[in-house]
Amino acid sequence: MLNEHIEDNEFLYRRIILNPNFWDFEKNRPSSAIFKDSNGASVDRQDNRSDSDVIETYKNYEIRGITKVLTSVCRELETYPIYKPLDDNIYHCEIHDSKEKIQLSSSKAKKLRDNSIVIFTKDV
Amino acid sequence: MKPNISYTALFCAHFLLPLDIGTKFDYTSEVNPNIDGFSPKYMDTNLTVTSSYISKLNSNYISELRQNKKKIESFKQLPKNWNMAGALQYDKNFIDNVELLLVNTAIQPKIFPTGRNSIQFEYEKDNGDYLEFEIFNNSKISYLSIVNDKETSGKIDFDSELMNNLLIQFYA
Repeated sequence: MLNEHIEDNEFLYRRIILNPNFWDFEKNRPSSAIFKDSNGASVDRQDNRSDSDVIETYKNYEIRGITKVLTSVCRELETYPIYKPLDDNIYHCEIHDSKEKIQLSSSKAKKLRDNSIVIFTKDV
Repeated sequence: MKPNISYTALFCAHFLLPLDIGTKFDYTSEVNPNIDGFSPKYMDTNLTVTSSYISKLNSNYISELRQNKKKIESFKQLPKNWNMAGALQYDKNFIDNVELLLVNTAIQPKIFPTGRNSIQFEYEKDNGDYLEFEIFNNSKISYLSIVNDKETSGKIDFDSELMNNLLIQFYA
């Protein structure tokens, strides 16, 4: 288990799965739909890892790419990142719409996408 | 619940938007989700085109519709937990209803699934203005419109005519 509090300067990483397609080829970026899960948006916190460490973690997944967003930006956008470790993933977090509401509004999902950085794409 | 079929939408999609100002047409349409068999007829009306931008968007309507239909059909095959974050399988009737919305949409969207059992239709102009419909399996559609950085959002019924009203306003 990591520290319950996610630091502002930690990045939160989101896998962009390959199938079905979430990639907007015209704009060369993922759709905001990637941040729309039933439990907010599932992400992995950075902790003390580098981007390369995170990319290595995901190498066995069938992904189109990986995007990251800074926790401080999530908070500025009035979303609610929360640490939710899993048995097989100590880095697992969720980004909720707010403290009271889990699923992200379309507006917040789009803002998260607009403020996230794609750090890796796979040629498929 | 099946969406309301909009003859107006079909008319707009195929004939209104690419045409010159003041052109007069006869048009009546038969709704036919099988696009290969679609053959519209005509009725009296005055038409105006809003912009050449819209006609450019519609020039590939049929091919985009075919691709989108194929994409939506593929969502039926997604298994439980397809997103590795607990996503449910899509209900096949819901997908069929979304497909009916799609064939009645005036302009073909970009389409994406979500992990919360909805399907997202997206439109974006070159200047960054954005329109999105998130279609849920409960007869409601949420929309988000961003025009000149101003956001508007709300919910409409599962109705292609209501969707097309927002779409036409967005591109006007």
